[in-house]
Amino acid sequence: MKSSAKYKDLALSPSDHDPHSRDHCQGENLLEVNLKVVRSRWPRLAAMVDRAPAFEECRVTDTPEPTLSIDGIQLGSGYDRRSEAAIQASLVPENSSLAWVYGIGSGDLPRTLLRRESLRRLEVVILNPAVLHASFCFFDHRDWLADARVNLLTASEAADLQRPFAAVPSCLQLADDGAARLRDLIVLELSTPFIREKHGADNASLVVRLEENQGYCRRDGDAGSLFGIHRGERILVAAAGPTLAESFDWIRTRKDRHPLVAVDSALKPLAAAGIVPNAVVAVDPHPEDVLKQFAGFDLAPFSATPLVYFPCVHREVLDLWPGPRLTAYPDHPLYRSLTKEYPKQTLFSSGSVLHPAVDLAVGMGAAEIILLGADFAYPGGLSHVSGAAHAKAMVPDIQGHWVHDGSGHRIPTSPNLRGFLRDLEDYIAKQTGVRFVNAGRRGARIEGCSYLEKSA
Amino acid sequence: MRNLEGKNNWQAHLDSAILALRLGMEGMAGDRMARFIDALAPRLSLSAPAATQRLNPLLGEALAAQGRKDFQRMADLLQYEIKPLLDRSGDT
Repeated sequence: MKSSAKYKDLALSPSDHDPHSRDHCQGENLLEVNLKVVRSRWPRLAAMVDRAPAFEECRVTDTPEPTLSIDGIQLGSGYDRRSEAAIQASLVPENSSLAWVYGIGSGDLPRTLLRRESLRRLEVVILNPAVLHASFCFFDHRDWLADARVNLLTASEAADLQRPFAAVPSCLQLADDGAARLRDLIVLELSTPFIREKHGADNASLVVRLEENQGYCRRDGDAGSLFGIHRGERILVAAAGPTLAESFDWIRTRKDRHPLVAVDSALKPLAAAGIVPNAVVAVDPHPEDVLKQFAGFDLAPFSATPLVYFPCVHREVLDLWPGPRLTAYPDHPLYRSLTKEYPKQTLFSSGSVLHPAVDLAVGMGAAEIILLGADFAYPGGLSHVSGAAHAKAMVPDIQGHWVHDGSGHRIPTSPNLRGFLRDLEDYIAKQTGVRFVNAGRRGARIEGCSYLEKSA
Repeated sequence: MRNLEGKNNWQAHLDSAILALRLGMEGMAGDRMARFIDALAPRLSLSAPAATQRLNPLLGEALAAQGRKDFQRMADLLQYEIKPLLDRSGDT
């Protein structure tokens, strides 16, 4: 980003794109008149927005209703901003007295919500002061900024997701580093209807699978039998992120002292490294995917290793496993009748196999959990640890989805992995008496985790 | 009737993709966009070459916008350029 003087042309260029703007600010540029309102109500924020650096690329679009395109991201509709804002505002119930708005864009979303007489308070969160600076140069925001119902705040002041809310999608894309976690929580929440829809479509086959696997639930042991067996100990949990390979030597030298729980996708590379976990967790309902995790290597060394599984796992995997099998359930309505019929341990699950693996380690009694290969991202441009069934090279897309690594740098990830990360962070925040440690800094930073000392 | 069903399908998927893009629901938008393209493909094979010639660069631009996560531009192209073009070509 460069000096804000770069936006001078935007501020001075006459435009009739905004009916609120030109009549009332002759002789002053839009940035100044907007900042004047902010300065009078939130002086600290005015200074922050004023000082915000300018973007490398910020241009006015050649569309019927000109808007800004910032680093290749159009701030809002270039055809009909009002109707777009009305769609976004529809996420807030019509009679709500309170609403949260994430990102400001052209200001049309807060303006639209403020037209509602029922609205008594509007909390507007800045996801990137530099975007607001650019928007202040082009759009007149004074009307909504001056509304007594509005409170303007930064992402760091509004760290937890609040409801009801509406968001400006471009501002999610352009969120700065300080707003990254909040952005992920917003994106996760906005994804929920689609995730539910997908799960709904999968449910029919899942019901059949659960019926097929009832016999296993009846015959097999209970994952709860592992609870409390390592009370007060350090437990290692191996995920299948690319950085797991960096920990193989470290695991080998400590494996005799500290039990290792592995997710199924990490099993093959661990086996290749001569490491036998104390428990393996499998929860993937997709037969082709999960079968690959257990194929192409000798399972004989695992004859004493329990497989902790959700009964959605295909029975071929269950039959393949040479060791004891222990059933667990996720907390999900589809499992209610099985839970009643064959009571077994419930484990935390929110989409990633790492979730129940970590919950199992907590249940085993861990005082400290070391997360290995829990990357939630693509460090080194890889999807998984080398040797994992689904390992592949990923095209770097840092302009797209990213998270911070342990050194504060942005690394590419996917929306799914980001969602899994934030759900794990929520889980960690609720645990008491367990210390969570991340073995490496090359994967995503996990809030609530400290980092492993090399000598530990 | 088959043509009408096809039209309704692509329109429903397109409207749903636009709505999801406007709301920031990226996963749903990608899913509906894929369904829209699938529903559109058989229709395109029956369309006049001139209509296809106008449509292809717009679709290319929309997919490029999707690639750089410029979802509001993508929504604009779908709603205000591509959809009217398809509506017009369907009337002829």
